[in-house]
Amino acid sequence: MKVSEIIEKCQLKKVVFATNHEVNNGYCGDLMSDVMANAQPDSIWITIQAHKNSLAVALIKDIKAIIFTNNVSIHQEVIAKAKEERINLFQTGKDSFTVSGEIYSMLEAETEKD
Amino acid sequence: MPKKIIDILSIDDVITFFDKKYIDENIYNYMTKEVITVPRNFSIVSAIQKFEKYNVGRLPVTEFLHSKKIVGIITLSNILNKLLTVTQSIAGKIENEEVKNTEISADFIKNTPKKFFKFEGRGVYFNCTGKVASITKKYFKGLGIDRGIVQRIAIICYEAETNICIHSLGGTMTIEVDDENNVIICAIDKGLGIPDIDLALTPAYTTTSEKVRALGF
Repeated sequence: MKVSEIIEKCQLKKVVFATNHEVNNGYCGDLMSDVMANAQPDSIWITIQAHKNSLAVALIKDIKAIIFTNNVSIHQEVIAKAKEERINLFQTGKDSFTVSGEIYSMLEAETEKD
Repeated sequence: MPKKIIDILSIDDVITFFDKKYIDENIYNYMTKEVITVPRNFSIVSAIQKFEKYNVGRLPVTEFLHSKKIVGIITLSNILNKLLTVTQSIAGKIENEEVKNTEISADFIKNTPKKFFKFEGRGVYFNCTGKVASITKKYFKGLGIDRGIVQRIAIICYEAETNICIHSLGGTMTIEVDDENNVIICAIDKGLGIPDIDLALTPAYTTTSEKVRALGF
């Protein structure tokens, strides 16, 4: 599923939109070492941790898109760094549980089609 | 208005007058008659070539080739000064870059022969955790080795690096590939010590500050 489809269906606000890549997996978590250990590469990551350290984790895990939930504020520095590293950043007022559920159903529906 | 060039009288010529005691003679006799000039549309390189070839200290600049009309004069020191200014501004930019990368220089890795590479991160700061891991990852990814192995290397680096950043007073990291293709990751930090070992062994005990934990560490 293209990331643009997720943005549209979940009504996410585009903070940085660098690439319209394919998403086959997702991970939800706010603990860096947990995400580091368990997120699949090329996942979309749902978190409230909107700081530079999250970008480092994304880079290492080949995560190309992060959704910041609960409308957490994103520092300019994070936005600039994400642009530089071509990591997509999205923002939403929904909580992590809701967005994860939405994306999970979308990905499941996609798999059933195949 | 551009003036026409006839001859040139250089400091060298003047010194020669004094040297040979020609002081009262007419300067016309001792001026350089065949003046070497450079047209203004010629490159700096051709001017430098002329300086070398004719061993002159300055070149009158003419309007165009074969013209005798002077529009200016150029000396070697003009060129050198300009070059120095340019070099200085480049050096300034490089210096700024270097300041940004005081902890680790990515170029260092780039310029090191592929199999043996080693870098150190000194005094890694909290706001840039993951830097050593990302650089290391990029390097190993560039070698085209298995993605899973690259991931493992990156994660180990990240964990070690984070520990240095959060729990120590600073440290260094070295990543190298030995003769037998083993990846050796070495992290050394200056620890705070453990005041109470029994307490430290209690499950879930942590000394991490609330501020740092809030960031997900």
